Amino acid sequence: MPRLEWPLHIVRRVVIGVIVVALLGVAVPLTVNWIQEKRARCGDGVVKMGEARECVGVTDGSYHFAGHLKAVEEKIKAENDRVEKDADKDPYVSVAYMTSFTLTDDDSNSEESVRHELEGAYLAQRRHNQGDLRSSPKIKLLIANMGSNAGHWEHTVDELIDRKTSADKLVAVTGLGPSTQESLRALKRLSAHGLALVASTMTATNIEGIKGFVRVSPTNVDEAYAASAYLKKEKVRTAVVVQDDAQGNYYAKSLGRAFTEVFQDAEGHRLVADRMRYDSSVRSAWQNEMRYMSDQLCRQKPQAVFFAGRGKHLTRFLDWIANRSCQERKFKVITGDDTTNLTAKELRHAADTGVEVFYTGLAHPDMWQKDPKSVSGPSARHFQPGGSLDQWFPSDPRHDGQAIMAHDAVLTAAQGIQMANGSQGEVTGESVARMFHQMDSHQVPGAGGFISFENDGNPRNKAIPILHLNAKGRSELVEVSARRGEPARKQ
Amino acid sequence: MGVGLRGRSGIISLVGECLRLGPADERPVIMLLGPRGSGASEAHGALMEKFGPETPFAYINLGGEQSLLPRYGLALIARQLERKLPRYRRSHFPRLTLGLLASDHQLRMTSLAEGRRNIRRELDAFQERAEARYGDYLAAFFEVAGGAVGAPDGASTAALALLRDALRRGRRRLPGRKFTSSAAWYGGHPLLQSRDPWEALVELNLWRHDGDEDDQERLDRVLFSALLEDMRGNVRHSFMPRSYLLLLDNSHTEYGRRFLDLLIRARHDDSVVAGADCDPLTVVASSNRWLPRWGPATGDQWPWRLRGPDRASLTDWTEHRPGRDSDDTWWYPLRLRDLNLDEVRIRIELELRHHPDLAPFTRLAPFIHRLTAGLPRAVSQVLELFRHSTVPTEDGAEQDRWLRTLPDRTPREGEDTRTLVEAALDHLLRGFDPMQRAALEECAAARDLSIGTRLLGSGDSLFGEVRGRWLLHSPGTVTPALHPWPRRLLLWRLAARPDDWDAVHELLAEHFRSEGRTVQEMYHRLAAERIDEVTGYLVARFPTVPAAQWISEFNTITAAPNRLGQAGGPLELLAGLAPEEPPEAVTAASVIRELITVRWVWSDPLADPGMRLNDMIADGFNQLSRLRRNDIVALFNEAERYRHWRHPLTSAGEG
Repeated sequence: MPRLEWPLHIVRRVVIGVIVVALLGVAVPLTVNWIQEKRARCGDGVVKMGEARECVGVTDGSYHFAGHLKAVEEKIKAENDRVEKDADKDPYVSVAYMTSFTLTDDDSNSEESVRHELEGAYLAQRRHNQGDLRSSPKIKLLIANMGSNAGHWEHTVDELIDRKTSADKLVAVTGLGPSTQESLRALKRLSAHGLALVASTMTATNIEGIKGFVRVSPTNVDEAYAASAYLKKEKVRTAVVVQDDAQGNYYAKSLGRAFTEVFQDAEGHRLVADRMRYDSSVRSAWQNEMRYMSDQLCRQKPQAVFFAGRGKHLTRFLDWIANRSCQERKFKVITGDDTTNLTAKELRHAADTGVEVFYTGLAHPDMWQKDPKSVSGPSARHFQPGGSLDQWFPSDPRHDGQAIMAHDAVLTAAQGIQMANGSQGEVTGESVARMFHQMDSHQVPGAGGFISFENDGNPRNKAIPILHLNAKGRSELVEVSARRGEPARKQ
Repeated sequence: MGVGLRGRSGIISLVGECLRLGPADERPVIMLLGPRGSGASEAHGALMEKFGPETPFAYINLGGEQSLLPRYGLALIARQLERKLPRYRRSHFPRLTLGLLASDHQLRMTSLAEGRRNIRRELDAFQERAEARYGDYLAAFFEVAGGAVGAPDGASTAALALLRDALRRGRRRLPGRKFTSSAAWYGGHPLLQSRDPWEALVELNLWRHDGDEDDQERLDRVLFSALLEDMRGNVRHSFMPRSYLLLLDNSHTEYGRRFLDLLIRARHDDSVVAGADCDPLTVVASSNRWLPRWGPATGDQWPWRLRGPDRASLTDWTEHRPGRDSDDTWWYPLRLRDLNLDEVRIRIELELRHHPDLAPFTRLAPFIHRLTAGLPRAVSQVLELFRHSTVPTEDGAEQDRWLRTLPDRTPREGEDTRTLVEAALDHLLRGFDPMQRAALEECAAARDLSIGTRLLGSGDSLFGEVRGRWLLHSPGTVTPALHPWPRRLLLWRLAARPDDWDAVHELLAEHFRSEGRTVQEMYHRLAAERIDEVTGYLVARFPTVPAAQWISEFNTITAAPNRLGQAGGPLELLAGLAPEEPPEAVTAASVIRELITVRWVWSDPLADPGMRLNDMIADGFNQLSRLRRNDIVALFNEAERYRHWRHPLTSAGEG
């Protein structure tokens, strides 16, 4: 090796300089990242993201995504702590409940509806861990927030995927938010990582056949079929479809298409006009578009209007209808389950318009009284006045059925876990998902109906409540229907 | 460049060249030769100052009163070379250290096998004891040999600081327990019989403590070889110097000669006999003596001819070095020369920076140069005396009178209360006993010292001694004359013995008369103040020989020494030499007589420090030219030369 004759002190200075620069090169970005992370951190697993600095991510209840969620999250946290504490005696796996918990005006869900969802999810966790459905392994319930409009689904999904292999041992993700493109992407990614997925309120028809995915809600088509059946039963012969054309709103599209297909028949039921469309994604225009629709309706004179759009747009639509030029004409407006996402105030406002509004819900507490065999009594009892939820979360009326759907979704996951544990011993996302298709003989005793699944993940003949918005702005159960007219019964 | 190296730039550039050579290239052992006071020690100081900050160096003064065993010298060198320099890694000397350790204390053993078993344990124990006491093993050698480090005479404060630094910043610890690989080297050394490393170390120990003189010498050779091998090992690595600088001052002493012999032999054995790479040591050694190993001091049997320092270079060394098989191939003898007038002048100006009180004496540079012939130490001594005495600062008769007795002046302050002549001769003639000194005072009367020593009964030994100490002026010239400065001082002493003065010069005059060398005879006659005889001779020669020859004879004769009175300036001295009866008319004889006296006084720098008699000499030659019908140009020229006197650069140029 040749001798190096450079002055050692210069070489030392250069080497030290290079090392210092290299260290700074590493340390400065790391420090900046650390500071940014520190500033961006809301709590364990929860960070601030986006321009709105929303706190998104996954928590075990130690971080409260919103003030109104504090009570339920504290209870979930306490239950999770208990599960962890007893872990050596009683092993546990995690189930996440994921949706948008930090809401803005752009979200279709309301604060009430997501709070009810979380309450229902907690109920299912309690029932599985230490209640009437007590079984093993126990469930730790994680709360996953994708942010407004599921805008930060990627971060949250990555966090969830990380928890698959962490001490949390995540096996299933439930909830999954409304039927939007973002939710669909999130769902596919979670599926690709082998997690079992149970949607609670995702009704879009095109979301099906995804590995490991099932839903406890009826599809839009089911809802449209049930709505059509109800109208026909009420002797309505002419109708018009009003549809949100916003890209990515699968809920509206599938609902509108299905109603159009099913309503018209050889018995004289017909649509008196083409589908009337508005685009809710064009903020400046959709309200004007609705304004003109009321005049069209006066001209077309349908007996019923099938509103294939989000609940919050429905209230605006009802405002215009209320101010229609042909006040002498009465319309029945019937729509899908998204109406259940409206707040009580919004519902009261809708009722004030005087327009008669029906809608297909996803579930309703009164289903048990109306048709006791269509739902699980032990499950439904928790949702009755004086039931568990009333005791835990008093003064929070849950007529929207969201609590029931979330409960049924988590219960489905819980039953899958129990079955996977019993049959294979090892509980993984894949094994739990396999169990979803073994539930024909082990139906999930849902508070919104007995649940088993078709191969595409849709529930088999799920009970669908037909609801009527009364003058006080509350939903009244009119009847329990189903796609095939008769809901599934306990087997 | 320091004051001491003025006129020695060739040495600086030569050492620079050696230090820049590749690590395995051959380098000379540079010998700086010259009498005491010729500036060798100053040269060491200047080399230290120039190269010390960036090159590992070691300085050893081998002329100390304390004897220095070679092993101590080696330890001192290694300790100094270990100094950490910013641009290099620290150098290590593990083989030498192990060798010194192994031969330090007598091993307690009853057999070789037992010694072999014990030696590692004993080495460790001894090293620990040394470290506990001195900080590191090599530092222990300062206890016994620290005096040999000292500082070279005339070293600048910068050089002293570097030297202190080299001593202080030696390594604190030995290089761990790396004995094994170093011991293996001893196992393979041709001088040791044992092939087993540990047995070889035991053998070293036995040589030191139970061996005869040959064993001791073998031990020293092995240790020198270890030092050179350590250096070779060091410079193979990156961030190590290409060369180490070793400065050996006063290497003519017994221990110095032995040290040099061992060094040259180790280098020759390793590089030529064993065929290893040459060691990377640049050696600069100074000697005030001719070294006996070079053969007779005539230099006839030594393949080297002394080289001048001005043109010293590696090319010059390569061209003149004897064949590689001879161990004389490593020498590079440089004869230090005296300062010329310009160098004396610059030296005074440089001294002014530190001693502004010398300012009035810058004018006296020609006087100092004529007086000392430019011997560096003599110049310093005269300047020192000026600084510490009451010499009149105004140019004039008073100053001339003061300078007339300069050799007998003593410094007004300072510890040295000796007169200049005593101090200077003590330094120059250190090693000569009082008898020899007295004999030298008489022998100095002869221009040719060999004749002086022969005639005056001192024999060839005194002449050889003087020659061996480089005290002869202008080596290589036909006449082996004493250096002008010691000669002037010795004659000053002789002048204090008037009878001896006259007797010696009479004796020498008679000798030359018997040999028919009249000019030399007249030289001594004039010295004995027999002016009329000299005048008679030169008057007779004036019409008969060509003017140029006459001038030459005149100059030779009138360069004679004098023992004129010590009072008064040149004119007063001249007045004392005037004929008792002034001539009535201007004749050749009267003119020549006056010219002889004037030139005689003039030629003694102590008699005419300011050369005030130049015009008188010029007038004399002018008058002579009028008394001669032909061949007068030479006389005109000579007159012109004195009228417009220009000091010659060297003493040889003065006529």
